[in-house]
Amino acid sequence: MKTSPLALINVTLFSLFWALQIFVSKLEFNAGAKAVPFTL
Amino acid sequence: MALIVLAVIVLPKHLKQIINLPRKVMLGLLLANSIHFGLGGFFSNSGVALTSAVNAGFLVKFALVTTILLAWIFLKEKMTATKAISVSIMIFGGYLLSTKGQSLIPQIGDVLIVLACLAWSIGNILVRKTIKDSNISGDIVSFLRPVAGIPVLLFFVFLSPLYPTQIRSVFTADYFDLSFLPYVLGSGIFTALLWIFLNRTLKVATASYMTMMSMMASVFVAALAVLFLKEQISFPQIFGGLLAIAAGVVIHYSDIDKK
Repeated sequence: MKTSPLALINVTLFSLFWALQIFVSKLEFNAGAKAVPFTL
Repeated sequence: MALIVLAVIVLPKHLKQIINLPRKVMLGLLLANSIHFGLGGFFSNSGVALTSAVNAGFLVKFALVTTILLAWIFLKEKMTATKAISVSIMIFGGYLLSTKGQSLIPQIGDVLIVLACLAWSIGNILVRKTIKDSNISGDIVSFLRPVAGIPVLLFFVFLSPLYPTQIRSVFTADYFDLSFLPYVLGSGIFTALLWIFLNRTLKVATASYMTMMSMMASVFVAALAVLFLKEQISFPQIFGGLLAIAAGVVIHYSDIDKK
């Protein structure tokens, strides 16, 4: 059975936003922030 | 911040359903989310403080293995040769992407990162078990993630004076410093969106499919780093990314998402 297009769209967007979140975190850590306050 | 974004997105449409959730379901979702965000957040932040970036970057991918094993045991998701081979290829690809092929020197924080992977996997398995055959929207699960997880994380922050110095420094900071506000806004919005699409995926596909296909994130991160941070990417990393993509294509066209 081929995976549904909805599952592929959802998981692709999940991965994309996860990557963007990591990217923004990296920018903030480069600017001197700490992880936990940032997470909260 | 993510809680505010989620409240704006989720509450207008789902507030009535949240209020009327059966007590057992609500407790299950709160437990899943406190483990995922609270315990997972504590272990990952502590682990990063006690290991190298290379080790941490690779070991977080161990969640792929823990999720598939737990989904096999508790959700009775199939374990096939295709799945096992694809996971092995993805782990190897992830290793090359994260480490450029360097060998890993074991450190004490590695254990905490693996515990974080277990917490994330257990959270996802509990969510999948709760919502897969119900009419509960994945967006409700996303809204409950910070609701249940932030108090747990704050509890660990409260206990921080008891931790070893390296871990304590991670949790000791000015929590009201607004100098990073633009980044916090960006991170909060992306965190809310990633939770929404994670839980929407868990609603319509298996936990195995979600965790394997999410390896795409490593490839996206590498692309963003090269494009916007001007980071250099080496041949082993390109090869690792291609392996992860190839295994993802195999997974998408195989039958592992059967319910």
